[in-house]
Amino acid sequence: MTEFLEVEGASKTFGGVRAVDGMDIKLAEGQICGLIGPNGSGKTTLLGLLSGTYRPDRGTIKLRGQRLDGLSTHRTVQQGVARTFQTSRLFFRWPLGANLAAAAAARLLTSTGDDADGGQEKLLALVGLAGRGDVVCSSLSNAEQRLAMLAVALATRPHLLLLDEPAVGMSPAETAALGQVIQRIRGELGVTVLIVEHNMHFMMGLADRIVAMNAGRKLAEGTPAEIRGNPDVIAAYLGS
Amino acid sequence: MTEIGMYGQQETRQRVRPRPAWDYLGIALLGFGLWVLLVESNSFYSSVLATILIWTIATSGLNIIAGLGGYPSLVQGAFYGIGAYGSALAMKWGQPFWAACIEAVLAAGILGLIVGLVFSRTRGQYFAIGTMFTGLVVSLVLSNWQSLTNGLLGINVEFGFGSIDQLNVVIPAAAAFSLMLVRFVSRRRLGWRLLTILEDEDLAEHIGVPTARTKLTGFVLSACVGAVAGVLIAQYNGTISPDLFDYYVGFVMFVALSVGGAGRVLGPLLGSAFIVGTPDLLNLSSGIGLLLAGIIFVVVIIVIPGGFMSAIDAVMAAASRSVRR
Repeated sequence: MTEFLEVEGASKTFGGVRAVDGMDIKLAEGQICGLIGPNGSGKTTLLGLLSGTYRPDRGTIKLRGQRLDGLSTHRTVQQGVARTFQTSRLFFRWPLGANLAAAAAARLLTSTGDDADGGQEKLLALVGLAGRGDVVCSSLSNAEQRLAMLAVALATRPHLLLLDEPAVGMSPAETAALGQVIQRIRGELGVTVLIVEHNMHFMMGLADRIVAMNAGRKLAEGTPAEIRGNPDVIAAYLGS
Repeated sequence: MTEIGMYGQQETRQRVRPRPAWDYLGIALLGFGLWVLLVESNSFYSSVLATILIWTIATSGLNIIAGLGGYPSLVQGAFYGIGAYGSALAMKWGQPFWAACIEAVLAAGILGLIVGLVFSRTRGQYFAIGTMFTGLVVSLVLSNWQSLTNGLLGINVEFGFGSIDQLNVVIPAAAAFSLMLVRFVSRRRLGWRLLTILEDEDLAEHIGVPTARTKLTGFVLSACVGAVAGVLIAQYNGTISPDLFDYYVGFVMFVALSVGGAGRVLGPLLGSAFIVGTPDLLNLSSGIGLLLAGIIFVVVIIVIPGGFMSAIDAVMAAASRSVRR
């Protein structure tokens, strides 16, 4: 039985710094997995390797048995991997609906950017932005922009969704709502989610499993409760 | 669906999307009107208008890569020159007119492919500089390869049409088609992809846009349309020389596009009318004309960054507000 996502020995060096150093990760389909670790532990770089932003120096990445490592970014997206970013990134001068249409058109899902089946409105409702499709992205609030980024990623119809600190700058209430949105994405669309996030409280309620990283390597792996009690993880975060 | 804001347009502007058929019909009517103007004017105004229309074709080609894709190509004048010289030389070597046209357009497309493969790896000012130097190389070849191009003296062009009346139909028709082409492309997948590249090329990759291939396709299409304009200017003038395709012509075409409204369907027509028409109608020498073009460019970019089309948008919006009141 092939794993949904299988990463073996993935490594990436930036000018002598081993940002990711031989990481192994396995994900089952439909899981919500958290990726935690101190600043500079390689979480975002690992996300970049999975999303095709970077190519690994060594190691393999397989999605449903298909090799992803070495593919260009857009080919990786076409294989069903979408990501969001730490800072809000959208086509800010465009209405949100046009952002979604562009994402759908880019994936060859439509040829003209028309929204024939009303898929846009469903996606917007799913992330809690129903009726906001006509709003220009630069006039959305921070929290709305972060949800909009989720909707754009989903418009490419991914199997695997990579979220890089999705709750940055959100209030506790907005963060709680985001957790429900991510649950719905998994529940209604069956998308597997990998989240990089510092907010442990947020992760505890959301993730099925957590992988902790330090210095580019895997430090620990387990259920949220196991990770919270793990002495290595505590030492890495608080300093021994 | 909402209309997306293009290059330099007011960001928050939204319109209900018009039915595409009306757009095409409108452009066709515009082309018909221009044809009437072309054949009814005296020979001086007629030749100014013909030049404007041929420039409209060339800058419409440029509109695809520079207007939709946001890549400031300064090499469009070279494709224009290759269209002119390519068709003229192919006919001189015994090719029928239609074959000469196809060969000239193909030649420009191939050069576009090569230039695109090299320079689509660069962005912004580096792309502009790279394409400008390519234009310089082409203009140097045209003026110095004596045995091929007869150097600065230029060459006579064999007339390929049945009559001058035919050519007078083809020029406005081709101008209208070039406007329709941009309108068509902008609403298809290629257009969407180019617009995402204009907005944020890295994000475009991350939503699945094959940015390198998209830029290449857009660039080659721009080159081919530029060559069509070159074929027509050669036919219209009857003789061509390198000064028509000097290296700065590509720059002036970019200026015309920006002044008219980059990324806008009618931008090339307005920009060409202003940049080509003003010096011609005022009967300025080419040096003074260029100087004027430069001044117009600076003033327009400062006062109305989106070009004339965005000024028209603003006026229309104000008018519709006052009507509603």
